Amino acid sequence: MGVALSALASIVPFLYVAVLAYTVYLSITIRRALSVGEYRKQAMGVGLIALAWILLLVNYGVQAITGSYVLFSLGFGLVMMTLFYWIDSSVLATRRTDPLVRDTFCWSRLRYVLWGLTVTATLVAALLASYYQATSGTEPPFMFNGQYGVGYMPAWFVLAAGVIALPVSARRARDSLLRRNIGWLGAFVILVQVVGVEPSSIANSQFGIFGVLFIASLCLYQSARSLVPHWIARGTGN
Amino acid sequence: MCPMGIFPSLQEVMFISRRGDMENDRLPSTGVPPLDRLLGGEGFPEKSALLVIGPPGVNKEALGYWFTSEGLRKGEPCLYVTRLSVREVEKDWDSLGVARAARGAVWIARDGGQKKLNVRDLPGLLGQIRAVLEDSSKGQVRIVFDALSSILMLNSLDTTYEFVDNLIAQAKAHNASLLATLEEGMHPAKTQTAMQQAFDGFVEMSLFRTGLKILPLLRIGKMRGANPLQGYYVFSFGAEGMKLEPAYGEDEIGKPQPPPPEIPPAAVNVGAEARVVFDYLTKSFVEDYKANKISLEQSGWRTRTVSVKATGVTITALYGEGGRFGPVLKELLSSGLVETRYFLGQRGRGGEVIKMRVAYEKEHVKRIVNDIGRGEEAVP
Repeated sequence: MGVALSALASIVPFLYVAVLAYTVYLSITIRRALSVGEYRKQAMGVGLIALAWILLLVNYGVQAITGSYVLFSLGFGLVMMTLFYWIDSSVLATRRTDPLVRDTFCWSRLRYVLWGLTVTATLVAALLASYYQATSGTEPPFMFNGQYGVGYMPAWFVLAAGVIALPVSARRARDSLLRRNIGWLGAFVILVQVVGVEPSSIANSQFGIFGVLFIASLCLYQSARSLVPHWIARGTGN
Repeated sequence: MCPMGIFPSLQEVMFISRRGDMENDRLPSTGVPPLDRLLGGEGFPEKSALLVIGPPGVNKEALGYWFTSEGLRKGEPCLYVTRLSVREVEKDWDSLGVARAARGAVWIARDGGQKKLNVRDLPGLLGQIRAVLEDSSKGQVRIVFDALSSILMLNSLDTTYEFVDNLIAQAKAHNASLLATLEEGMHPAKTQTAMQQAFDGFVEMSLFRTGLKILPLLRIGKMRGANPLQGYYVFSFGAEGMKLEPAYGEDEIGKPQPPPPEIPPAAVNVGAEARVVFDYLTKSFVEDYKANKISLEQSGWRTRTVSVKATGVTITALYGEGGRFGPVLKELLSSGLVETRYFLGQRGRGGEVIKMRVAYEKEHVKRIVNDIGRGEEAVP
């Protein structure tokens, strides 16, 4: 039993990366098949999120070796920016499927402000981490110390935008494909929130953490898959 | 949904629409020559109403852009009804390289048009359209209607159905051709089927996943008064227009099509249960039309319950889960042998009921029907 669990624990991270990599491929393929800009961006957004999470995993490894919190801060910022890219494109896409074509929370203008805040927050967090590490050589205590750490600044804006704008947009849009896409990606975000993204938590409980991340990656895959309305199983002729 | 399962390798043949490479003043061209050829070679029949169905993002509206552009190029009056603003549509036109000349259309739009669109006021909208049609009463008129899904979502099905009926009648009365778009995935299957039946023809554009590929596919569902090419075509948009490639390689759009081969009834390529149901529907059609002297339009419609009782197939063969079609009915629909329609007000309290019959408008099905009734007057 113990051996089996140990073997499974060593396989799960690879499965996690494999599912994410396939999600990237699927998203790019869907993007190529679509013709309207907003929907192409939305499909690409799912792929970018998957790619950012693969890079974050690499980042953890590099961070563990080099001890660079700047890199981690930038990696986290990148994840948040890809998430915001998807939120942005989803809100814009759902507007087109709203029968009254409403501009939720004046998103067409608000998005520029939120983009600015997310990018600025990422850069500020990286600069602070860089400064602190250069002067003291350790992790800045205010960076990832609890959920209000400065390092999490980019997430505040992204999550606020996602929590407020997306449900309203999804309710207004009547398109079942977009709703499914948003629903699965929401499940992904919730699962990764459960795990947390601190390097220490990844290192402490590899099997448990990767188990949840693996399930999260399946949700992300489903999110990409939901953008294709018709699936033809090989050889069934349906 | 796809009749042949997995796709073989795509043929090398590729057809690109180019403005003016197909001139025909008699029939309204769609503005996309490969699509005209799919529809039977010369565009679609005069005074027809064509519905384009597809999920968001596949750019079904593009067919409306080229349809308008082609009409204006020929000097025909065009009416463009859209739930978007004129500016947004123009932005889309620019991204597709649709001629700026196409902007000479009359617009009923959410913003920026000559008339403002109110999707909740259907009588008012019909009045606006009638006024435009009466103003431009010379020659053929083209109408693009890109607000059907919004109307369906904000009004009841009965009201919308009545509106669509009136819209099509008005268009025909004013010698107009109508092209409307409908979002797939936003309406129940029965609503979509009801809309398909209301129009003279429909084109499906959707994304299909097969193996590791995602393919944007187009097919002509039906086209009254024409003999459209069957099958799925991979579509894409480029600076030169819309490209269509045969998905299976059996058709070559753009080349003169040989007459369709004689298909004996024995060649109906469906499973045993589907064949039993098809035979029953064929006999019902012949019986209605020849023995009961019912009109072609009304002949042969049978409910699924009646068909189950008459053929002895299982209920699950025709009824799927959650109100969907069962596997046998799906097989018949995907092979183009059978069509379905929602009949409103057929049950108590104004409910609707779905019925099916043989797709007699299709040439090979017509042959089969005539073969069954051999020795008697052929079904026209």
